[in-house]
Amino acid sequence: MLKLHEWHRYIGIVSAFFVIVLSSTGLILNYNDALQLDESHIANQWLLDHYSIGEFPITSYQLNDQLISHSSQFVFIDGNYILQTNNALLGAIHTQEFIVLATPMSLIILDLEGNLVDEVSELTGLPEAPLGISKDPLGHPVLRGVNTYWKSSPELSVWQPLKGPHPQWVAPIDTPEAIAQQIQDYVRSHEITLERMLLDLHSGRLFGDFGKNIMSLAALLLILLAVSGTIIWFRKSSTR
Amino acid sequence: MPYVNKTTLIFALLVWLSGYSTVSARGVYLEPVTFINNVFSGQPPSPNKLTIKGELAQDIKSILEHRYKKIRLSYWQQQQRTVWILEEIGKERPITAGFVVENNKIQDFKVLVFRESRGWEIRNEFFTRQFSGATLVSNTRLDRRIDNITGATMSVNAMKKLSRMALYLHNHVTTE
Repeated sequence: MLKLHEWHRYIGIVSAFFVIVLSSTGLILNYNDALQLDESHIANQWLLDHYSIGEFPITSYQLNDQLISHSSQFVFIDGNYILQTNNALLGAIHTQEFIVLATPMSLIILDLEGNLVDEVSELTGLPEAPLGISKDPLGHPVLRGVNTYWKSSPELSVWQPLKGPHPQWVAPIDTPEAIAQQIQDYVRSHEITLERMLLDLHSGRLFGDFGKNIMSLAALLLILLAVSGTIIWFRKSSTR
Repeated sequence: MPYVNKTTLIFALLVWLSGYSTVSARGVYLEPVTFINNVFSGQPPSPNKLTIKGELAQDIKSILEHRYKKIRLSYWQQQQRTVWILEEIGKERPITAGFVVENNKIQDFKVLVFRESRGWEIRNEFFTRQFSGATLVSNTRLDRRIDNITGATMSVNAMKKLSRMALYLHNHVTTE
């Protein structure tokens, strides 16, 4: 039968690895803000595959000489990141002044350099939620509503019902392979933050339920280590 | 040795508990449309548009310490009362806040949408009521000190900046 101090020693040896993992990840996480861990993302392919981060669907619309794409929560022009939106992209048009992106909730208005000018929703002047977008023969934006089509002033601030035949609604196209790959690389490498990975390593969840249970066991061992150490210390001090 | 073990025990408990620290309260606290309807008793005026350019853009940039994300803003005005729905990033994601300004003083301020992973305590009335009656001094400074919330400093700072921006914009559109 092992004595208490021997148990204490063995628990200490077994716990050593976990103490190092927990301490080092805990220390780093403690300085999360300073280290900007929640702004850094994991780009390592093995880790992304381990997290089962797969391929993201991409929706693209061809404007005059630009390709507007949406994937996950990101919008791209010619494969270059422009802005974030959680809404799907229903269409995109190019006016003299703006690039206009239609989502189910709003119209996102960009200037020709891709800077965000405004996001117009029903709250801020849109006659109804968009189902699609197009242009009339004069190049004015036309919005597809549930029962009505709406024609806009060039600055997209005044809308009136469109009479007569509606234009062809903008439809998505296949994303060229090179741009699709560029977008996939961007989107996949913006899914998992370094903070998330360290938290998962800290809690063991990086290795699923097995890892979580191991870390739970490690925590129990650390409790046992502290309790047994305290008892040994009291015993020794009382015999002195 | 015992000291080390006690420390280890406390550390183990802390790291154990830290697993639960990622629970967040992100979400839509109040739909912007509901906020606007509440302010105007269900009959809001049509929104106005304000283009942020020139000197106005420079002043907004000095308040926020960066360019505002949009070039054109919507706001609602009824006599000397204006309502602004503004967004600012606390740490990494935008926080949407609604401000009601009347006679150059903040009449009401609410956090509408919170998307950050921490700092959601700013939505509570004990924080937002500090802004009630706040006005600008020296053109872009608040007339009062806003108490910080531990662990939510960046969200608090974002709301302080937005309150200054709302007051500044109100002053701009009502004295035009």
